[in-house]
Amino acid sequence: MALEKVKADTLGGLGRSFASPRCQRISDPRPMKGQMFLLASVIIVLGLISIGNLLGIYKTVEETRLQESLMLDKQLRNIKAEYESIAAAARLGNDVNGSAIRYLSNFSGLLRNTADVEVFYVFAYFNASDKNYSLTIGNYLKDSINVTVNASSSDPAGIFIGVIDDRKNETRTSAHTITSSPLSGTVLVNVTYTIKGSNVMEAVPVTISNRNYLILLYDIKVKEGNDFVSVKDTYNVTW
Amino acid sequence: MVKAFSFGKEKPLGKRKQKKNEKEMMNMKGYVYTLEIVIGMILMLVTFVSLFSNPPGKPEIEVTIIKQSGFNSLDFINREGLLRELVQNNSEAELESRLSALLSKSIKPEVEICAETCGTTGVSTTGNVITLDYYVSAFNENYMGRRVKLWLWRK
Repeated sequence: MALEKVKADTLGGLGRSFASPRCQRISDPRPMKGQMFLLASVIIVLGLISIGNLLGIYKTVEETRLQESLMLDKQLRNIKAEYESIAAAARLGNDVNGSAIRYLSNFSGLLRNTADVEVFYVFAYFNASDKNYSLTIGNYLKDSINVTVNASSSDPAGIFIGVIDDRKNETRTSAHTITSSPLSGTVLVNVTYTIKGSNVMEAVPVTISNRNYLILLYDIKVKEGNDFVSVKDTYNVTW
Repeated sequence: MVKAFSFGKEKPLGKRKQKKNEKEMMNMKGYVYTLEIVIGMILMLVTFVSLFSNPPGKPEIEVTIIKQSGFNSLDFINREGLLRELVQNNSEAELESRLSALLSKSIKPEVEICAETCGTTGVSTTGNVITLDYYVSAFNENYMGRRVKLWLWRK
């Protein structure tokens, strides 16, 4: 009996001390204690602060990226303008074609040695006195290119130039065969080149008349890290 | 407390003592909850601190803006028609004074007119120095193939 009483008391004690908290949680009419809410609110506040800070950094990163791309664009505009200056400067000299070939090559070499730049250009010069036009192709694309040229109203009409290595240029002279009177028209020169397995075609219209004419087609890419900006345009002068 | 869970060895507890123990248990329960919350918060804080102790550094936007202002100043001098002549005459000092007039008073410019290799004489060796290149290919019918290397830093 005594043992049974002890057991009953002890189990009763156990029942009260262990079972009662669970029962209290379920059946207690009082509201839940606020600690969990407090903890949850602290977590949420900390989370919001962290997200806010991260978004602030993201905004600054985006702004910097925009400013850097603007800077790249300015560099590209500077280089583009200088290619046009070269063509204009060559026009003022006595040997237009020779000067242009030399200047373009030297300047492209300077760019390649001092900046992360890729350039492809086609320079065409029509000499009104000998009725020939000359074509120069410059490759500064950091890879070899395979070039073919087709031209309307020209003799020969098609020229296979072949491989032009990086930092090299090739010049060809063709006689145009426009015979209409007065002597005028446009020779459309199509320059097709293959680089890394892909074909690129550039069309250069050469104006034939009784005046000298030059045209410079340039394709410039300025890079910085993973970003780049590029421009493809032509500059021409008749005089 | 221990006595309440031991079987047989101790004498049965009196009703008063049992009630007292229950009260003590209730009080202890409060302490345990508080302790749980404190531990939880400490864990949270430690996690947040360790996660965000090294936040990604804010990029220096000022560097890009100074670089742009330097480039714009050179571009302005070029559009005025002076830059090419200054480059041809190798007038670094005059170009520097013109740049100083255009740039913020707190920024010091240092100019080097060069082609591929440029010297660094006069360039600050302390602090952040920003550098940029401005190309000048020709002046009238003369080919130059030069670049204006501009260094900028805060005084």
